[in-house]
Amino acid sequence: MGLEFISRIIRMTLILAVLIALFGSVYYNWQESLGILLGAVWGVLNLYFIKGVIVQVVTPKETQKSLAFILVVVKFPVLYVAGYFLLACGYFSPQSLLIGFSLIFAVAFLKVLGRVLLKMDMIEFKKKQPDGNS
Amino acid sequence: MDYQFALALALPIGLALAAIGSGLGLGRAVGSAMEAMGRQPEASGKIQTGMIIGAALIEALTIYSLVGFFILSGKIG
Repeated sequence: MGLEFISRIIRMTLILAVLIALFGSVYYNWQESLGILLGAVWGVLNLYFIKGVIVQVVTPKETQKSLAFILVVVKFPVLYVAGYFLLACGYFSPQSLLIGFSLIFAVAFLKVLGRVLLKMDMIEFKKKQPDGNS
Repeated sequence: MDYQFALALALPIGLALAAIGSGLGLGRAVGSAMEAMGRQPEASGKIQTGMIIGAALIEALTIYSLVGFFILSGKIG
């Protein structure tokens, strides 16, 4: 379970949000559905920038300080100002934005639950052992 | 004290408490992860992944309180 796990969570969340937005706009309400999609994009950007900052600043390997600085400078306006404008514009209900924002955590929780139930970490650990047993 | 005055008083205090709490939580989480990575550098990938998800969760709680702040601040006349 390395950093590619985060990338898979982001990809899965975007796919799920697009599907929810499509179905919701056809069968329920396009404004609420678009709010969920935008909330999900907000959450994805949040996780993406957190990942970028942590990888650039907190790694045992070589770090790129300038990239980390740019990520930190971009992250906070993107998160808070964009969120403020989404809420202040009044087109989308706060509930739909929050549902979309929380979608990424639901995806992460279900992915971790799946790994635990399928014992995937244990399988990977056994594969790394030279003789095949722990 | 009418409810608008109470709301105007409580909103910034609530937001500040949320920010303080998430700052403390984030600091503890990152500090513990650094310590763990220093002890076991070979497990840094797993520790980093857990730390990133934890940091996102902690920040999400602050954003929830910020959204609540924006919603309720519209009710102050």
